[in-house]
Amino acid sequence: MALTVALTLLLAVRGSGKPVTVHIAAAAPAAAPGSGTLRATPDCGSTPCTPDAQAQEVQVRTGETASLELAPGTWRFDAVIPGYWSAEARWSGEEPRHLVLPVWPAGRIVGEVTTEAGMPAPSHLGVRIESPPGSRETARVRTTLTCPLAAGKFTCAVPATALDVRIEAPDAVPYYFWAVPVTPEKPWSAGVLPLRRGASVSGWVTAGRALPAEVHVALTPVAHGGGDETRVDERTHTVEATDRGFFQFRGVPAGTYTIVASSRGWSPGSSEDVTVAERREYEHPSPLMLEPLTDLHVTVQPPRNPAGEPWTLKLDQAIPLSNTYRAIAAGEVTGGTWTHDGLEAGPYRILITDGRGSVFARESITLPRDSVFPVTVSAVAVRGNVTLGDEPLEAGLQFRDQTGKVARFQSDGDGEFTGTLPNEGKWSVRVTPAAGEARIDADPVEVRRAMGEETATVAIRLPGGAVDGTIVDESGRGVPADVAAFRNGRMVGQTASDDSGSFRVTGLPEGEIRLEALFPATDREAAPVTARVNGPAVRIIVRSVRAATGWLTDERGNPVAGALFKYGLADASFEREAVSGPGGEFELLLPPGAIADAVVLAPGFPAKLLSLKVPARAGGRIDIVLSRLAGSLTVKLGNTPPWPWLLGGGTAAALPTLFLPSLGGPPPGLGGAGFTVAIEPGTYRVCGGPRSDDRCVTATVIPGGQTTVDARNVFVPDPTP
Amino acid sequence: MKLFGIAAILQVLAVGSALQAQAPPVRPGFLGFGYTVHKTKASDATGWLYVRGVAPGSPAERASLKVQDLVTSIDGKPIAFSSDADVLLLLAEVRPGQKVRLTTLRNQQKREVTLTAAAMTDAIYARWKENFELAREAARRTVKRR
Repeated sequence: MALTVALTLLLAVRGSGKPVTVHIAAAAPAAAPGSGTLRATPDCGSTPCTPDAQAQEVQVRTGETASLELAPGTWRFDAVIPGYWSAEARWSGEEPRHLVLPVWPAGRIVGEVTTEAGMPAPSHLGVRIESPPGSRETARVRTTLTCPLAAGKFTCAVPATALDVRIEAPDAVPYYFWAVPVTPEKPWSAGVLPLRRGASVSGWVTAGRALPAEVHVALTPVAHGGGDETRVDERTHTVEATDRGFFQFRGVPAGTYTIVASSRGWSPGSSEDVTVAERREYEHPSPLMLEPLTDLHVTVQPPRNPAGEPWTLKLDQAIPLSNTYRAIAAGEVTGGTWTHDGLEAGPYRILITDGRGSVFARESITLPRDSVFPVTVSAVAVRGNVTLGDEPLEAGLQFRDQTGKVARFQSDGDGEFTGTLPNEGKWSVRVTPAAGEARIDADPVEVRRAMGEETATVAIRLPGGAVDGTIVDESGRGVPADVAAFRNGRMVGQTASDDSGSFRVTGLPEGEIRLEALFPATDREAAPVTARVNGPAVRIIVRSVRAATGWLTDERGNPVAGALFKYGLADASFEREAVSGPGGEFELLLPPGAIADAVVLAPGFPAKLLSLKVPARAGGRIDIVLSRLAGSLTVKLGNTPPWPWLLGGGTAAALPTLFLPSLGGPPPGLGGAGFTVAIEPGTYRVCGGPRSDDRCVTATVIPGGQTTVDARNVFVPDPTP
Repeated sequence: MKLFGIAAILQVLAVGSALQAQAPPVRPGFLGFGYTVHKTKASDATGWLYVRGVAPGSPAERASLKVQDLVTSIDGKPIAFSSDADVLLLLAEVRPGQKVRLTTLRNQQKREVTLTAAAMTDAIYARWKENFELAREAARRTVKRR
């Protein structure tokens, strides 16, 4: 043996520097030692190898050590020894210069595959082999082999030892086998494996120590890949993990999923970003960890609330992948401490409240990290008053800050209130007057204690403006409904009408507001009305409406999708909107038999003004055909409202109706040189009001033409001062 | 940017208890388009989003989303929500860096666009929360009326 190694050394001396020694180690006992060839192959990656980096072969025997002089760089080693299976070893050219190349007695895995209809037979299989955990052999196997497939059968040379085996064909769901016995004498047969195209998800569950007896793994779709071969599948799939913690979901549609592993008495382990591609297996890169349940200990300082009573603690658990929480427990904080046993790991929320429901602390915690959690509640004494106009207001007050803390107060008949806020700072205030149904959002208040003062003083001044009104049906009967008041797109007040339909919105600043009566059902609608604060009472008429449906097409009958309808009854201007769907279908909510004004703004088409007759009978349809013939109409405008009206197509539309929606800011063209719109050819009148007897200018729009009218003189000066 | 323009808020007046039960949301990712939700009785549960606005420099603008585009699916999933609140909640769960794939329709041309959600600035988040609160308040009122 010594002579052999010496000869090998002499034959192998090619390079310079210290030699590399490779020990051929039999990882499992074999009947007889073997001899063969050790191969050293340069691994130059994507760069060309240097001339002195030449592959080498030396004779070796199992249990002995060969020595080679190699050029600098990375090298791969394997052995070809009859009766043995060799692993592969790599050497990166650095210390240490001694490697162990394990070899095993040779064995085989055999088997057969079938394919589903229309699936081409693969030419090879990918076989991944790995030593099972707890193997007592001196070396472990982990490698992937390419095994040829002929006439549906395969034979794969592997080490003769116990192996975990994964067999995969291109585009097909892999198969797994655990601790299969491969011996030199007898190949292990995988049997007949039906190959199925599709995607799959696999992974492992661990518990840090012994895995619980029953571990369920759930795979829930978050979003679907939408591939041709997949269909939307909303179900959560569940499998049981094996004793060793392995799980596999077979035949999974492409998409994004969450995986949750759970077991009774353990905190679940989850993964939220599992993206499955078509015809691929997603192997979760790390085990899902089950964790022991945790006890939570909360201490609250001071132990009592400002009223001298114990605090109330509410514990909510965050629901994964959502903004929501579920209530876990609530109770009194006795002596400043509160505990709860057996909680799952993960994020929670703690709310510390007083007897009025004011939230003094709102803390986010994560278990088990925060299993002992101190909460220090601060409190600022507050004294204040509320006025509505010049009058004191008896009302309920809700203070809310940006972090979600809430404090509630009650002002008396003199508008005075006292209480405690969790902290100084900026607070939003909602006022609910004791009388009536109104709710008023006051301007935010800054709460600060003056120098040397222990109590902060707060003054809530609500504007004294109000709007009175009634909501009636078409026969004049009062209708109870919720009413919301908006200004510049923001809700500034709310109330509700009583059984006689009367309502009053209070706390409004001077100016105009938009009032909407709200109905949960869709068979009643009321057009929003514009009201002047402290002006005349308004009347909102509720009508029975029905969904009138129709189809929007071009002149060739192709559906027109994404067209914005602005429509409404002639006496209410344009107050409703609808959008045509992918098939050109649309639905308008209008009283049966009514005549409505409408503007249609469709992408790629000129604006169309039209008068619609709503079918009186159910099932009647409104079909509209759009023409691509267009002309350009420019209306020169003043810099400020009022804006003129456009009359045409049997309808009248306020000019801003022709604007497309925007995210805010002034509509394009208004207040500048003029507003230009592509519009169906025809004769239009640009008027100071919606009636043809208002002062108007006429505009004739021809196909492809450009028409400009000056609308700056269509307004009759307002005679009122 | 209004993730939910006021028109969108009005669209969610009919939301039910799901939204009502929501806690104030964590800060979602910024997509940069405003929309309203539409469907017809004939279309049953399947509806569409109508793009009402695209914020300059936003992920939506970078993905060439345009006003008047119709969005017919989100991440391959049809707009088949049982309530408008579902759309609100779905997009509230988008986190910065997350990719959202939209199928859009414009001039009968179907297109797939992918938006990578950006971080939401404090100002936009404040507005977003305000809108969320409005929608929740509307839901609460509606449920009370029922």
